[in-house]
Amino acid sequence: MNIENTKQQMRKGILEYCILAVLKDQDLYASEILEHLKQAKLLVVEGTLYPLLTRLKNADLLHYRWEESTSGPPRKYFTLTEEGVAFLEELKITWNELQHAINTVTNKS
Amino acid sequence: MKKTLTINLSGLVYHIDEDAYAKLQDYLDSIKAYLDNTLGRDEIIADIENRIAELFSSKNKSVISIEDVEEVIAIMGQPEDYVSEEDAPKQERPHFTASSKKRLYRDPDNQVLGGVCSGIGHFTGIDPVWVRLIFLALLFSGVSAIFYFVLWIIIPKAISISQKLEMKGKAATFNNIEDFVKESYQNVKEDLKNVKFKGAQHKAQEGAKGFFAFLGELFSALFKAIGRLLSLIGEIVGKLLGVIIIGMTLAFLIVITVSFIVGSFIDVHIGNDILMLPGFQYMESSWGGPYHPIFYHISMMLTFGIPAFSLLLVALQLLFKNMGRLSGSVKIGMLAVWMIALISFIVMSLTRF
Repeated sequence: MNIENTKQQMRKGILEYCILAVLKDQDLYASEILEHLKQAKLLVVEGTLYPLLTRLKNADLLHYRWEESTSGPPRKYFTLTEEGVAFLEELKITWNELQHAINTVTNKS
Repeated sequence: MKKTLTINLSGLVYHIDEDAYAKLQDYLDSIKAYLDNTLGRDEIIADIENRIAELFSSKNKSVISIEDVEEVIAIMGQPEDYVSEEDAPKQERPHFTASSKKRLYRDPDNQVLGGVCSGIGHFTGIDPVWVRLIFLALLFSGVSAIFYFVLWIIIPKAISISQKLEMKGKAATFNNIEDFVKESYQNVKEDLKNVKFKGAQHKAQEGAKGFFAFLGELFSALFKAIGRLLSLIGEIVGKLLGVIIIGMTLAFLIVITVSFIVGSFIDVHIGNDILMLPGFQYMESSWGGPYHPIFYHISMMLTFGIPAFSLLLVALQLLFKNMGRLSGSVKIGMLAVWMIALISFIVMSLTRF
């Protein structure tokens, strides 16, 4: 089994949760979201983010607005919708449960 | 020194080296191919282009070089990375390779006359020497001269680097044609699979309420599959038709050329002498008109030759998409010559006996 592959799968699974989480308090555009995720070493390459953002947007968890930028192309700022906030809350509960479960399991062995 | 192109990425203008442009274009094309079955593909592509534009802007360079594009690709990731787990296709997709498309061009770096033979050599993967030998061998029938002339006119010369890359790309051998057919078939199959998969999902989620939405989705996916299949069939039929027309017009051109040479030779040089030979006595004198026979033969040749020649051009354009077209004035000129030839051919045919 390929360890890199497994690592990537784990990251991908929690990526959606993290995107929603960083958008909770502030509106961000793609590069800023990338910064957050890269700092946390959740992303290896940027390409993965864009299909995810579009999917979250199509699921009505996010919506966006365009803002002009002086240093580059116009930016797409993403905001959580009400549904997105509710979704995030639910994921948070699941995550905490999972974290607890994993801690219990790994500490036993 | 390098040639640069101007591109518009997300509404901003960038100057980019030609090789860098080819690389970026390939990269975006292969992402598109990977995301083919993903919902909102165009939007994702627009976002990616937007990000690439931002990365280019942050460099503050007047010209984007191939190193910059490679750096951006390293940041953005390979096309495989764009596919998220849920809509990841199960079967292996072709790996990202630069310039897999192949086109027919004339090769200016390896030319004897116009680079036609070496271009054909690149396209078919045959050594240009053999192509030249075939053309030379056919020269005696007169037809390869016409054919070479036609090809010289309509095959574009590979001038830019990206064109040269396309010229030397993967050879269009039978294996590749097979790959192409397989790939297209695979795409159709995937579309059909999507119909079933999405259908089941929708039914479970929305029940009877979403029935019409489901129907719409079913039809759109079905039409996509049918469209792909038709375009595949169309492509194959078009190519086959092109090959058949080329074969027929070439054969026809050989016949007219040979009959022109033989006919004029008999009429002009031997004339009625041949009718004195044993075995020919029962034949009538072939020439009785008030004109020199050579005019008759020229008009006959042009009357049949020009339409065949045009048909040959059309067939070649059908077979290779990047072929050049004749300019309007040349077309009008050819039409005028043909009309004159036709009228004189009719008049001379009526008056010769």
